[in-house]
Order: sequence, then structure tokens, then C-alpha cells
Amino acid sequence: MIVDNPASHFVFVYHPGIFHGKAYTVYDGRPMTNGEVLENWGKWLVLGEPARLEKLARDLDPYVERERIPVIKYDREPSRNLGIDESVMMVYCDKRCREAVWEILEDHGIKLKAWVSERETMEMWLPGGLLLERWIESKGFDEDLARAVREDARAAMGRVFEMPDEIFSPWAQ
Amino acid sequence: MGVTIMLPGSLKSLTGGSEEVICECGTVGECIDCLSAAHPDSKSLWFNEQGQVSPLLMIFLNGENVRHLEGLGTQVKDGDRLAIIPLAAGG
Repeated sequence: MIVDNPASHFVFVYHPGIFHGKAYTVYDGRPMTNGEVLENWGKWLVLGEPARLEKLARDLDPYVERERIPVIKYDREPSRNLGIDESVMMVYCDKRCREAVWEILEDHGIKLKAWVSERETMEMWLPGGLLLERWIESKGFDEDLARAVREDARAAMGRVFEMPDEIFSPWAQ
Repeated sequence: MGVTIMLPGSLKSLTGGSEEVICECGTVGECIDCLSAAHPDSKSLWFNEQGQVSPLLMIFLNGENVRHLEGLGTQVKDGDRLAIIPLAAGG
């Protein structure tokens, strides 16, 4: 199901069970730990105009409902303040299943093949990470606000690195 | 046959408007050189002041970030697909 909350920058494609406690960071029937997420979780990236991604989301929704794709999110509009003029769709899965998910994307006309691990993304959004620092700069935050943003980022993502045996819990976006 | 280099729409200005370019090259670095040489105006977007590929780009060989392979020295072969995207897309 497509979850389009205008308050969020992202539009999500979830399995309906997500609202009844179903986790999507699961492998072999077992919820993944933070350490396993850092080791194996990631996404295929699809770039395009918002209308193209909206159509693709509708086309891929049945695969999420049938649990062949764990979860998808995409930008409502391009993050131009980060230096990109297109929206990005992230088609998440465990890297041990990623080629099966890629075949689905390829069947839907996706040709540009780019896999980014969740570890890489989190590192870019931790304090000192290229994307977090670019984002802070683009917002023109003063030093106090920038420090608070870095603390929030550390609180949200640092735990994933510091508590590898804890079951992974996604944060609100 | 060569290596197919694919760029998203937002980077196609680097290649004169093409989202796909075929290059005959032996390494990832040679592919970037090939693109840069064909479109010299774009050189400052590909490379930083130290002559290294811009940290604001991500390069993937058959889906895998070349950082996890052998970087620009990664060997390529006919039929390979190289994708280049803005770093911001990875977040």
C-alpha cells in the first residue's frame, strides 16, 4: 500500500501488515539486529521525475504486498538543497536477495543499476558525514542549531552502530 | 561492444545530453577520462582540484560501488555497465 503523508518528504510503499507490528527488516523469518542491518541491508536507487516514480510505485506496490520487495520510499520532490535535480526512489532489501529484486526493477524498465548499503547512507548522515553537513549548510543554521541537528542525528543513528545486537528499529521520517 | 556508461537525467549535461554513452576502456578511471575528454567543459564537475573524481559523485560497476572494488583502477570488460549518480541520491 502506498502511504502518502503530505507532512513527510517521503512517500512510502509498505506491506499493510506494517501497521500491525510486521517488521520489514527481516531475513529468514527473523527480525534483523542493528549489526545485521549494517552488514546486509541496503537499497537499489532509481532516479527520475516525480511523476515517473509515482507510476513506478504503483507498479511495484503488488510486489511489496506479495513480500517480494520489503519496502520502498521515494522523494515527494527532488532534494535540490542537497544538489540533486531528480527525485530518488529507494527500493530496500537484504543484499542476499538483491539480484531477485533487481530483476523486478529491470522488468519495469530500470537500467541504471546502483546499490547503496544502509551503512553507507547512515555514515553520510552522521555528524561530519557529507550529506548531513551539506544539508546543515543549505539550511543556513547557526552553530547552536547545527550542533542540535548533529546531536539528533547521532541519537537516531549512532545507536545502530553502538548496539549491534539490538533488534533494528526504524525511525520516523 | 564496450562499456555502457549510464547517467541520470540530472547529470546528462555532463555528456552533452546523453543518458547512455559507450566507451572502449580498460578501467573505471579510463571510462571517466573518456567522458571528460569528450566533453571538456564538464571536467570541473568530474574532478576536484586535486584531480580526483569528485566526492559528490558515486560510481557503480554492474550495481556495485567501485569504492568497494578497486576504485578507479577497477578493470572493466565489454558488456559491463557503469552508472554514475550524484552522491545526494545515496541518502
